[in-house]
Amino acid sequence: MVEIDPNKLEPGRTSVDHGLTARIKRSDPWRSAFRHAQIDTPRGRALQSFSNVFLHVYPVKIPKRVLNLRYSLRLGFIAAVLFGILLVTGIYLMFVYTPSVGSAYGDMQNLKTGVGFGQLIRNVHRWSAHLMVLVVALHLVRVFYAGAYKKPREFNWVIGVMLLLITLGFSFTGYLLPWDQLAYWAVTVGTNLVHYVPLVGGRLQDLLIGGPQVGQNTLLRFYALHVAVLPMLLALMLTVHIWRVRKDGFAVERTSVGTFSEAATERPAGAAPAAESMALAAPELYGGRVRLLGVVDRESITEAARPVDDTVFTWPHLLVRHVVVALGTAAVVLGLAVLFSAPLRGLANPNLTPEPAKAPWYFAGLQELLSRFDPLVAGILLPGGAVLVLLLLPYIDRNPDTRASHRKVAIALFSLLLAIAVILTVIGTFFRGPGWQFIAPWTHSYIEF
Amino acid sequence: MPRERPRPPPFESAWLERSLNRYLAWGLVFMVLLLAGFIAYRVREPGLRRDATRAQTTSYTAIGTQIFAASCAQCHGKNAAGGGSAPTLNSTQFLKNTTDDQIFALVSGGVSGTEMPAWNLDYGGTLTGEQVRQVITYLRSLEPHAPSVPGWRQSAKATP
Ligand code: HEC
Ligand code: HEM
Repeated sequence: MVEIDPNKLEPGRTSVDHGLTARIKRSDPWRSAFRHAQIDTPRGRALQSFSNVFLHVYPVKIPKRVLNLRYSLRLGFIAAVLFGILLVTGIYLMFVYTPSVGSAYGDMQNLKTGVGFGQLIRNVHRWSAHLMVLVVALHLVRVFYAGAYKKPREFNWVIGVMLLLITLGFSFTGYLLPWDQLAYWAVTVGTNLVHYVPLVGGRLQDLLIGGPQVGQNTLLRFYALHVAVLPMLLALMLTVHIWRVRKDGFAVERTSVGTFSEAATERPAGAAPAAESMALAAPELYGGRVRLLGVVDRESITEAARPVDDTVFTWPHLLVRHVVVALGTAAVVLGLAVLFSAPLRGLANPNLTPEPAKAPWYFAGLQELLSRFDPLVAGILLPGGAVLVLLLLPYIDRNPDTRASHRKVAIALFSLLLAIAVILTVIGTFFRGPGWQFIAPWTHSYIEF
Repeated sequence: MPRERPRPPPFESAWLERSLNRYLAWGLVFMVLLLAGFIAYRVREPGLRRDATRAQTTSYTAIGTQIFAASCAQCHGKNAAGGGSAPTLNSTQFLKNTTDDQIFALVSGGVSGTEMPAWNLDYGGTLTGEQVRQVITYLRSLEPHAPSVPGWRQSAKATP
């Protein structure tokens, strides 16, 4: 008989399992990595979560309504998954790409003709990038309509707008790297806008492209931004964003979803944080929800502060959903990548302007505006103003109500602006041909993704 | 999923279990799709590569022809046939004995003490590395029909 330290036996077990996996899982090396056995009791699951850095991103238990697909549409999560895919494929591309005017384009050709899975990885990277812009924008729209930017989530909305800007920055800097005609001219059109910034425009443009025209310096700068600066910024902001999603108590309660009463989840407007510790202050502020963020084995103490048990275990309920949504996202991206290849036009040629020289689709609305108004107005004031209003939105719209019927003005205004943005983007993308003439998209397509 | 079964109320344990199972089923579907996608690509990859290589050769040859006519022909002769001040590049003797990398280095850096200048932007020239490669692709396209020119270094023309 092997002697077994009773402390290493799972609680509730009296007999010893002598199977190989059981032995490995009891061994010291295993236990040094995975401290707690998989015990399917509330306490067991909690201990596992606490001792695992990855599970620790999630709370042990979550409000049931978080499971509801209809509410969040998982858009934020999908955006994070796309970012993950972009990181992995981006590193693969870094192994075979040199940010030099002389070889960047050839490296792109090489992906097609010589690198194993090269073109596939490039396609996946490009499709994920397009989808990430789209999904992040949809996430913003979803958050707006849910009223999820209201107290106490104002600051998370601000972080969110910054994430959107960083995402756009990623797409724009990445666009230049293939160094083909599409890249060269989209970036030339884009960076010319910077010139119209009042007072510092010229210098700013110079700083960005590092010379009189887009060239080697621009390529190196965009590359550094794309693979080092922006990823670090995004990772940092995303950490804050997700942390705050937890701290702000997850998705806003909707009366149509779940069974939990609204009064219990919303922090009363104007409630000042108590001077005592967060854990003690939390029940009054959040209707007991903060307790979910950590302390499970104090069940008895806070039981009274909780009107209904509205929680489920993260594992398996949320985790399984997230893994499946991540798999689904990956499947969609891979499907697109297998079916549609990323474009590669001719080598960048500063002396040959393609007709039309189009900005990437998410800036097509801006380009459309530019064709109608003065560049200072269309290129700087309108988009700058829009970003400023978005940033300050939670502080402008101070109505605490999240029900659609009680925020008609905000919804009407936002919907109007959204419609204008969508229409401009669609016109700029599909309805414009050479010389920015109006064309019917079914006659000829000038779009390349 | 059979639809007739009565729907349990949301978030009750029966609902949770059914919902979880549905997700797990989808997870399986997605995994199969992912695997199928990778296999589909891998199967098509050799063909795709062949097509891409062919397309690249065609377009590089065309662009290389233009660049050669514009920048090199005045010394190396029309269609690289020699007769000017510089070696005859359209010759088996040159093309068979010189690798792409050698030509790349020669054209990029030039030959000091002669008329041959450095062409690569990296060495103060006017062509990007990729354009040099396009010219090389053009020269290579001549190789199958290149005439024998024993005096190619002296810019002799092929004797017909
Ligand atoms: C001003 C005249 C001139 C031009 C223009 C010129 N070359 Fe040359 N090139 C020469 C001369 C002279 C030599 C021979 C150098 C030597 O003696 O080794 C040479 C040598 C070469 C060689 C090496 C051949 C050998 O036998 O060593 C290559 C390859 C070559 N040139 C390619 C090009 C290409 C490609 C271009 C156009 C981009 C070009 N040259 C433009 C004058 C020129
Ligand atoms: C890189 C881009 C972004 C990522 C990866 C991201 C990720 C997430 C995730 C994972 C959540 C959890 C809930 C959910 O899935 O919806 C979330 C919630 C939230 N996001 Fe984002 N987000 C991004 C951009 C934005 C933007 C552009 C905004 C708005 C300006 C925003 C505002 C919010 C808010 C306010 C919440 C809390 C919503 C709630 O609790 O109901 N985020 N985000």
